[in-house]
Amino acid sequence: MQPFSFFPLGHMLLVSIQEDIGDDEVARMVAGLCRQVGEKKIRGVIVDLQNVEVVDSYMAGHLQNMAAGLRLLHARMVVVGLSVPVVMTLTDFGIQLSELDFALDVEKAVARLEELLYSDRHG
Amino acid sequence: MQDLNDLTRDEGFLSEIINAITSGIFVTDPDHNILMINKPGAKMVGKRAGECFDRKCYEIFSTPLCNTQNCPCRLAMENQLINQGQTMLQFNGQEIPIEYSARPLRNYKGEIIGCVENFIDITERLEKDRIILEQKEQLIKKREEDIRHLQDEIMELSTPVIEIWDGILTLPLIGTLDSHRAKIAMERVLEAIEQHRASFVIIDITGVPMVDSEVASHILQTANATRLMGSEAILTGVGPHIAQVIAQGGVGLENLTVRGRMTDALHFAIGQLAMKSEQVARAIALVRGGSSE
Repeated sequence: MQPFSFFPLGHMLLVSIQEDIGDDEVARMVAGLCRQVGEKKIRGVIVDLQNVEVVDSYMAGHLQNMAAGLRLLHARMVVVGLSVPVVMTLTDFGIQLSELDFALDVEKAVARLEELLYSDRHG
Repeated sequence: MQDLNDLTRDEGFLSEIINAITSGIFVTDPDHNILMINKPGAKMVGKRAGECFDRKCYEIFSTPLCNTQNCPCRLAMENQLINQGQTMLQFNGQEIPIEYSARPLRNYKGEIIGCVENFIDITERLEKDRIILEQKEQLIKKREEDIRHLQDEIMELSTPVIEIWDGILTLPLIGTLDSHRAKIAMERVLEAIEQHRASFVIIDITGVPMVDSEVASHILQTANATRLMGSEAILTGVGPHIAQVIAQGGVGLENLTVRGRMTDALHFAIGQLAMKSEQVARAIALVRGGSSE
């Protein structure tokens, strides 16, 4: 079973990532994501990390790369579901993820994406 | 005492006095022969006074100092000074802590003709000292525990996270903010965000007397952690002096949303929430419209 799943939400796409995702699988996921974004005219991607217990610098790097790649495909990305221990660890390691956008839950992520897309359209 | 005749007459009485003293006393000549010893002194090594006369003092007594360069009598006679100290008297396989004092003995011409040494068993005193020390340590330990307990209590009290509006939390910081407290405050804020699904956290530093670059970086860290949770931090209560310190320190608090007073921050946050709920409604409508196509 692949450790990630896509859920289409209109012009948005919800990506849920499971705990034990390896580098190869991340690559496969990004490839699949980019294909879907291109084919289905997706404008917003929500990455759900609720089931991820450890976000290390590799994972952080993958997320940053994903956001940058999606930007080139004219789509925006919002990360949701970071738990308190994950955030504490990231802060301890000084990982800021300043390029990324975050939301509390999927509902708020949808709103945040709307906001981002609106500002993209209207300068 | 007028002359030696008086001494002879009073000798019996003097020796009574000397024997009545509880500490041990003995007199040696320069060659360490015991000329005189009182009963308690001899008793301490299980002997009668009569057995000790004309024997070397180091045959009767055994301490780490005896018959060495550091013999108290020798030092007293050589330096012509009172020599005091503590040592262990070995007797019957046991060690008795004693305190001694040796004093050179002079004749009427002022020449040194021997040494008087007195010594006292200080086992009880040491035991008492030990007990006092133990009690003192216990007291200190207890006090330290109390202080730690109070510190924990203060820590608990001093980092309250309050929900003052639906989805808006406040963290009024009071007192000095060290890294330990900052970490606790951060953890509690993050937990509260998760629990209340709060979109905004107002960090108020009115009660923080001193903000140096370390404290500023703690605030910045908390703000960033808040962002990672998907919430937004608003800083309030920055005084003019603190503002200058932060600006000169260059810690990058400029990117933070800052409002003057808590009221302003609350206004701002409520306004944003209203806007966001509209956006949510619109987004949901859009998603529904999109998926039904």
